[in-house]
Amino acid sequence: MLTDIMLGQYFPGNSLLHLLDPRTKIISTILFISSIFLADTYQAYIILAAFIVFIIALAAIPPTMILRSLKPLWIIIVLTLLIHIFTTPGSIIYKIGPLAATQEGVRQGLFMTIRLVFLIVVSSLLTFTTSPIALTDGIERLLNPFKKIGLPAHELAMMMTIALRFIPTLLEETDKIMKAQMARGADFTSGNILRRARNMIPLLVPLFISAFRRADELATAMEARCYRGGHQRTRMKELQITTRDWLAYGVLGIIIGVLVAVRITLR
Amino acid sequence: MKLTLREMILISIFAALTAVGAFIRIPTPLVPFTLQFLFCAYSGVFLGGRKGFYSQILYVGIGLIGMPVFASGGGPAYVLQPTFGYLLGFIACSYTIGRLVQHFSTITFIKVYSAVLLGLFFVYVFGVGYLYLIVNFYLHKQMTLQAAIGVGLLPYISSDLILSVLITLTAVRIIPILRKSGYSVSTFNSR
Repeated sequence: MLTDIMLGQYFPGNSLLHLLDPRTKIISTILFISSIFLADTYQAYIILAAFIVFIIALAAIPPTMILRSLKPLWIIIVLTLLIHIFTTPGSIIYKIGPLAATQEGVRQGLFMTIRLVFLIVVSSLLTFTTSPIALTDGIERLLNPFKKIGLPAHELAMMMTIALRFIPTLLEETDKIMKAQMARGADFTSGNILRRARNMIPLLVPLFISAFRRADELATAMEARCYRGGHQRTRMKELQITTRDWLAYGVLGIIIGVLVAVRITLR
Repeated sequence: MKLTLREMILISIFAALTAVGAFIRIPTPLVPFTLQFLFCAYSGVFLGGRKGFYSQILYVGIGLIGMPVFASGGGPAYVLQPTFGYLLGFIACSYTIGRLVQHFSTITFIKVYSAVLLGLFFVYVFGVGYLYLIVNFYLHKQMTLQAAIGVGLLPYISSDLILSVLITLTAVRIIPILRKSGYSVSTFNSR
């Protein structure tokens, strides 16, 4: 059912990757993701794959977790591969009916697919090793410099935290309301589209009422505890850039350097 | 932008509701449709243009930093998905609907329905446009605009039009109550 959905894929641990400052992880993820686009030869892809396997091992994330993060996207992954194999012009190596697989197509399809898989794995590594709270904290600190031009960094991070906190609650609420209404005879699974849409009303009205009520309760609770925004707020856990973080930037710099070198020399 | 605490919380809740909408799938014979558009439109209707806009930006932002809140996952790589345009469309849609509904002094079915339809129009302009651009210029495959419309619009349009009726039906009842009770998240005084 709805409540089975796993959100916040955080996988607690004590590895070097877990201990890095969230800011370092966010910046490195963005840099590394952009550097994936530098790769256009088999050699470059092998280097990338080796490095990704290395960070997965370093983070001590079980490979099954990584595979699970790819699962919801497998249709797109397979589709990307097939579209490229069968629609790229070139020397034909195999024919099924009107479809012709070409050598160039296989190469291009493989590259595009592996690139997509790399992108997904790298970005899910960020959420595997960083708790949602640390992540929003990091974002707040990264956006701080933009405060001068009017960007509300603290408010944004706070809203992100609240939204993340409420997704599971609202999912559970939806599930509960659905079951309650089904027990009263509501029907969500039969009839034509028009009927089904109308049957949503007994779900939506209570859901909105409860969402508004929860918003009100949370606002009261926060005001009662004297919340007044980010101004002069202190933290229990201050973020700190340490030697570890500089080391991570160093390793990333070397990898990007190697990728650039490979791209220039192997054209 | 200066937001009160209550406004901040409501924006977050509507971002969370949109995420919930992505998980509620209604099985239909053809394509299963999700309720993202429904909650996106509601965010405009209930919160008004500015706050609805923020709530959808927040939703897209949460997905892009890697939380699996979109229909198929999340993460920065989602930008390369052909369907990312619909998410951009939601931002525009929520803003449009909110802006229009805010300025209606009387709430009638026809008025709200046309606002929702205009919002829906923006979802498809962004959605189909992005689909077309990604397929042609990122995947480097030839796809005509007609084909993009055939894949990205025709299978969904009928269910979305029905959802629009549902949105309007509930909105015309709820907005007057919200305004009268002074809960007024979407009154005229919002900047």
